[in-house]
Amino acid sequence: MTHKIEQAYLNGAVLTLLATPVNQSFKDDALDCGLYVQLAASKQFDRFTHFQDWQTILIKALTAFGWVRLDFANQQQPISESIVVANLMREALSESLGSVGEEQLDQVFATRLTGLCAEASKAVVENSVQISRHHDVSSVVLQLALLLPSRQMALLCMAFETREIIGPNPFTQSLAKGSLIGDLKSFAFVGTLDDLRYTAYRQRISEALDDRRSGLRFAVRGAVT
Amino acid sequence: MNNEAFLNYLASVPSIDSIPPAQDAPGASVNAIEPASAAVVGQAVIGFVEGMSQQARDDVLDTVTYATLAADKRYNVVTQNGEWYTTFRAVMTRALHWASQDIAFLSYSSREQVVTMDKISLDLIASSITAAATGGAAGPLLQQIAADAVEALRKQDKPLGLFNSRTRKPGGARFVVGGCNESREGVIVLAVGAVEAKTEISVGNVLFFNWNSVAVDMNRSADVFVFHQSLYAQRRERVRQALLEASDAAFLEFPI
Repeated sequence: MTHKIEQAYLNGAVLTLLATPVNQSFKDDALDCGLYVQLAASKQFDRFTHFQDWQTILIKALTAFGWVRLDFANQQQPISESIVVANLMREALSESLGSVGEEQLDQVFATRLTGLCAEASKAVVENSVQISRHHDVSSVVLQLALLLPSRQMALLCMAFETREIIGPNPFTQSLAKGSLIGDLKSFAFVGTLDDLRYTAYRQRISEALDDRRSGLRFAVRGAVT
Repeated sequence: MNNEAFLNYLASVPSIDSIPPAQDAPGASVNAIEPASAAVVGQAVIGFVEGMSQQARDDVLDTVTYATLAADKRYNVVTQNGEWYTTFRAVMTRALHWASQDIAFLSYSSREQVVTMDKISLDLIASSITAAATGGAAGPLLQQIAADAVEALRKQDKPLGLFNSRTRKPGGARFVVGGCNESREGVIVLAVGAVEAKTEISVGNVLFFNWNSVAVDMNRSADVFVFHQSLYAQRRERVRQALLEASDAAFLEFPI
């Protein structure tokens, strides 16, 4: 059975893709919990300057609020060639997503991500790029989540610094090797939301986000067909 | 033990907060803060017979959650394989008024050729129900309910296996499958099969993973519990409160 990616949200700083049919309650829970843990991690650490510490808090918070970790991997490696983040993320997902059509993923990554609407594009850049005081270095943290009908989520995150000016779509921008500074840091988290566990947090997380949700989450047009 | 002595004994049962966290227990070395060092996965699937009262369902979920949290807090499945269920069972019987039928099925095997955990769990339930003979007419029903709950999971997508490259790293898993029934007379019976496994590879899909080719230390446990709901009623609020406090702890640790 293959699924289509028909909805996308910018949820805080995470571009979140939903493979249909995603159960409505799982969608609400995953978006709320996802936003809450981002805010919690960012309250403790600045992801642009303290990526590893921020990552540790984020993963810890995810598991504390009911995400059962199925897999986790992180790496830090020198950048040896020009990169396009969308391609790296696509590659990371390619082995595992038998249930999501390859074509769908290609469409999202290769075609549709390039056509983010102006509003989404502006928000992605605002949430993913921090420019140094002297305007010569951009620190970039790009995050993508995929929600599946099986109540699972894959969260991918990549961080790097570059001297290049980041354009309207950092996911698809080709970044020249020479302008990249230091290592490419990344992690991937795969988890399933334990409903029994999340029941204890659902209402309070929802209430905590009541005042902030509208400014931090919106549906993205252009990311999907 | 008479009633008064029993209630006194219950009052002496340690609270969830007094149970030391896993890192304080001897032998535990895996720090939950460091996500890459070990992969512990665990979940409970409890199937309910249609028509159970809301109170009964709430009580069963509350008690199973409480016992799970208590065992999680105390034992780490990677380093203390086998102890998790012992604690889960002790909390269920000593603190939460589930009476075990004293037929707990326990087995330990090392590097045994096994199939999938869902099958093991369901086989365990079947054998414990047969041995107990207390399930009575509900026995086959309990098996069916547990099997249905597992089947509902299986029908979902092919589970996601990102980075499914079988990286060798210490990993552990526990899985609890249960079937619960409330008779017309209000007797609540819960059959539980639990598997704890320790392996050297990272497994993304615990329940349906084919463990056949993998070296694994495995502890299997099963019980048939009967619920003393009227006695539990005296503790219901305390358990609710403890669960609420457990969730408070997460919000205190991760404010926004």
